[in-house]
Amino acid sequence: MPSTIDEIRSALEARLTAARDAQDVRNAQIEYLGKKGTLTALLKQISTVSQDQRKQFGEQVNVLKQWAVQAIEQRLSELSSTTRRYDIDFSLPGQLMPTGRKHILTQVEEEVESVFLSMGFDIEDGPEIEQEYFNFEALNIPADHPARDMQDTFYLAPGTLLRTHTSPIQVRTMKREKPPIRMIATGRCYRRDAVDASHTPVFTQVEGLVIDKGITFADLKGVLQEFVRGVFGPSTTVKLLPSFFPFVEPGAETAISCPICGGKGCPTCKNSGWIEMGGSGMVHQNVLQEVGYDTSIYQGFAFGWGIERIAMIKYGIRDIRMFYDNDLDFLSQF
Amino acid sequence: MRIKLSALHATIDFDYTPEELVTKLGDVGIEIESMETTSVRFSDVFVARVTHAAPHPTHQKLQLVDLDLGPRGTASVCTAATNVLEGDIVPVVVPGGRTADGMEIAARMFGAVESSGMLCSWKELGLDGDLLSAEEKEGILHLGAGAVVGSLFEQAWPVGDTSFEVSVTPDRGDALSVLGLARWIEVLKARQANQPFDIGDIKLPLPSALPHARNDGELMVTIEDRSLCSSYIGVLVQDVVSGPSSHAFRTQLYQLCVRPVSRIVDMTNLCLKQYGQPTHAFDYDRLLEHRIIVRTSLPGETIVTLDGVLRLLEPGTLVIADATAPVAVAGVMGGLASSVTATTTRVVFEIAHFDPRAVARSSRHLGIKTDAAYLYERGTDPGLTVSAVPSVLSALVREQCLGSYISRVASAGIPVPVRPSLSLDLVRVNGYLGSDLGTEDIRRLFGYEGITSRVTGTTFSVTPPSFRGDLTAWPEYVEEIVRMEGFDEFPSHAPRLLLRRGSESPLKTLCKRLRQTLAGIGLVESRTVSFVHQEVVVAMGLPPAPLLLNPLTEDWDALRPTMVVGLAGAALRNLSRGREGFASFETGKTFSVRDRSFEEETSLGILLTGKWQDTNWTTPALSSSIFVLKGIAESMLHDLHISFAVAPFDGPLLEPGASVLISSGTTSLGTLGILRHEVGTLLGLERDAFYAEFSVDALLKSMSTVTFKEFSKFPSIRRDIAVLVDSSVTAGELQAIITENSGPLLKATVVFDSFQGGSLPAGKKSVGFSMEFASPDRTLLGEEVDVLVGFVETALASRVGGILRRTRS
Repeated sequence: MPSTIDEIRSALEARLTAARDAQDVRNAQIEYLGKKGTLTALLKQISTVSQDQRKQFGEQVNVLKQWAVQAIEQRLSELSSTTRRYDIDFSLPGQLMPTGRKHILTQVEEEVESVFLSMGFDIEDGPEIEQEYFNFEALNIPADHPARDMQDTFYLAPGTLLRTHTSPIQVRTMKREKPPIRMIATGRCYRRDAVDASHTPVFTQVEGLVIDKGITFADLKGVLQEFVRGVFGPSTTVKLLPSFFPFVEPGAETAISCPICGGKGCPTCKNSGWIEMGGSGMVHQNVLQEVGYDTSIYQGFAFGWGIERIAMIKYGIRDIRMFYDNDLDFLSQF
Repeated sequence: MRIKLSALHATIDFDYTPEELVTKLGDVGIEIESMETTSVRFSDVFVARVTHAAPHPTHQKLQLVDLDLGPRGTASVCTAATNVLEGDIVPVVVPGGRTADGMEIAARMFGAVESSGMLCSWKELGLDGDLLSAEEKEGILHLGAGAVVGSLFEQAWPVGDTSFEVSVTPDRGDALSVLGLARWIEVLKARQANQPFDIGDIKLPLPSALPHARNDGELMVTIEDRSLCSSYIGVLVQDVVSGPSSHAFRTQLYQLCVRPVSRIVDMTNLCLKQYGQPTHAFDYDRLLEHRIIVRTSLPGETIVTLDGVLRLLEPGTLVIADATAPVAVAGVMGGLASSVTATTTRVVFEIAHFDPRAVARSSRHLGIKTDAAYLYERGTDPGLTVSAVPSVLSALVREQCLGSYISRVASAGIPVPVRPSLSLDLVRVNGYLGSDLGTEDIRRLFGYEGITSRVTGTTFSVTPPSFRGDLTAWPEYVEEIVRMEGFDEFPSHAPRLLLRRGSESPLKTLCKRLRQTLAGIGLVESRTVSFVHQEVVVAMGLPPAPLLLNPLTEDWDALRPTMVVGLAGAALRNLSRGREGFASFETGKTFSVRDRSFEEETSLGILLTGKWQDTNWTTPALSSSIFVLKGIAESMLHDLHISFAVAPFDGPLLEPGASVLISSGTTSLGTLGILRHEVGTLLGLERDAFYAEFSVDALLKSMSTVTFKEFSKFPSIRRDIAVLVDSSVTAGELQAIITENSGPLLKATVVFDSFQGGSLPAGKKSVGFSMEFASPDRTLLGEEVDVLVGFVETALASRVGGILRRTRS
């Protein structure tokens, strides 16, 4: 039955070629060489074949068996050495997962808060609808003082306004607690500014205050230095320039070395190498007296920066309105 | 304030480049906001006198003008301008020259006449139109008689220059004049040369003699309250001839960035810009009884101010009055009735020192902002008021031939009080700055600014110069020490603060956690403005929100009572730009009015609309739905360990029957449902939106402390049942029956299926539950669980007539 032998051989050959993995080959091995296998059955047939054909048939079957054993082994080794077991297109995207985001201002706010928490500052909070007293008078900004022009204010009723800065939280904290005070406050503030690329009537501030015995101007510089390193990176430096804020004396505008160009000069820093970030200074005597602190014992410093400004400098955002447009193309970038 | 470099150079010698000047002034706290340098862009423009002007023989619209160019000879030009007459002094660009806009000039024939040059207007010369009068901008520019005929135009007019925009902080009123800036430049020079401040370096006339004052019937000045007006000087000028200022005066005004008006006004403006002293001119003959009384206004008094507006004065407003009525709001604006007119022949110039607060109060109350008020509010120099400006003004009057003679100076309040001295302690200074300065250091630093100091031991007695009204308390002197030493020269060190842990409020922590959870679920956080339109609030059916007295725009006239307005706006913006879905939240304050008092609370709004889940080859798209929103809310509440219940709710924002109130115990946490279509339409959102709003304060109150519960370490057994019930029976009721009847071994139940319609009988629905059983102390047997499921089945059948559809293990 030579034809049968040839058929079996070509069938097994085709089967091995088609095999995609070792398991396929092992299945074929069982099918052909197993106890009930095709070849095993053929071997058993040898004794039943007539005497004259037995020798030739036996040889043919044995040759076939030897070939089969070898072919199976070879195919097994081929599959384990050269062929990939999986054929996956990894350029295909994975299953979609939720991609929510915190707002960029939240991210910056939390970053700032964590820097100060690590320095042992408490985070205080206060109302957005504020009394004129806390927002102005207690901060040494009396009525009819030109400093009020610096902050155009939204009023809800005579004496009641939307806070123009987070500084009233300083006053509330000092009225509630005795020194030492080490706090920051972050929150939404309001100024009656027409909307343009650098103004929105709603914005976010971070305010800091430290009051104790012997707190100095040197401490203020040290804390601001740590703050900018924490937020803008370890090589950022801080520079103070004289300025005026009614609730501090001496008062300073704080500039940082431009984090974009490293201080070499670029469009962001208008080639000056420095970027103005916000105000700071030693807390004014009038403010401390107003909250009932003994100015012969206690002194300290305060500062107030814009969170939007920090985010704009850090990420190179040029238009403040984007923070409040909530465009997903914007929000999903951070 | 705008000022040109040439005006500063005319006042003090210095060799800083404009860029250096900007930096150095910035270092001492005077900010130059912007700087602009203009160069001479024209060439061969000369000053010429018109010797003859006649119509062109053939060209009707042209004039033929003969010019005298002094040493350069004569020339004839044709011009279309109509404002050229014999005797006029005008600029002409000659052939071979160029105008500021680059036009090359050559001789040109007009008919039979050659025009050898072109007369120029301000535009051809590239002059600053903001600093020219309307007449000067009309046709050909006219130069005054002082311009030298034949000279180059750039010698007759200050053309190439650098202008600065100075922006000063409210305490730096002393820098709001040429004199003020020159003083600061002198400070810079003194510091650089390590020499004391020397006012003698300033080239402006600063006469210090007190004027010879006569306060009699011809002009009588009375100050009622010296605390509101420390000195008032009236300079009377007779035989006044008005008209435009001379050429030399005119070019000086150009350098000072002052637009000319008339001889009288120009003089007052010069005093303001050059000395920082506002002055005002009254028509002497319109002051009743020739009296000036500085007093506060009486109830009901009014004044028509120079701008023609009738104003009711708040009682107590500081005014200048004649014998009967106010003639000016002191330091703010003069009255129309007493103002100088074309027919005025006698003028009284006012030079006064008013209380900054008094001027600020009237300026704010009347809503009038003038340069004078701006200066007075920031404090003027009382020394200058009394000693220098009257003389300067008198000299100006003589120079400019304004009147035939100065009659006299009527005054009150002379001499001016000196600025008080103050005591300053060295130890205190160093203890404030963390520095190690000695007494000599401080004396030296004060010296740069002209602050005199006397030292006794470690105590200074310091006196400020009269122009430094900002120095009234010791920390202000500390600031001057820092200013002069340089802010960067002071030590900086890591603060020596006690080691302690910073803390934040539980509300703050909760807000952070909510944002984290919701962002993790796949929502994007929005931040929207807190303003809404009251009309929209009321149309949505909500109670009126707190109104702003002075909103920025009509659309933002109230404070948000809900987060939905902002979130819907954000959704709309994104959808209109082609996004297919928007899922966002915002935490922040919402506001309300109760019994005329304003309240605010921290709220969380969640809004879903359109696609909730995007699609790709592995993932089908999923639309947002009420159950996506409920799932988000449940996840959030589980994360916070808040047990909650839902109950039907009917409110203005959400569809009735499609909204619930979520509460924990007796505390309402928030609401959730389908946004009412009318509300969506009002907010511009046309498609279905799902909205939930929570009170974060309530969430905080409802959070419970977590304690460990023992859990089963043995394998659990699951059984699924599906039950057919009336459609009115809720899944919650079925769940309650299951929980009640399956005993303590029931670990969890999940609704795996809920549907109606199809092959089911009308009015019926099928709900499938997957129950998980486990024992804390042993492996359960299938048979005992089957018994428990049997109890459940019986209860479902008897309590709600539930027909068991199938049980699967």
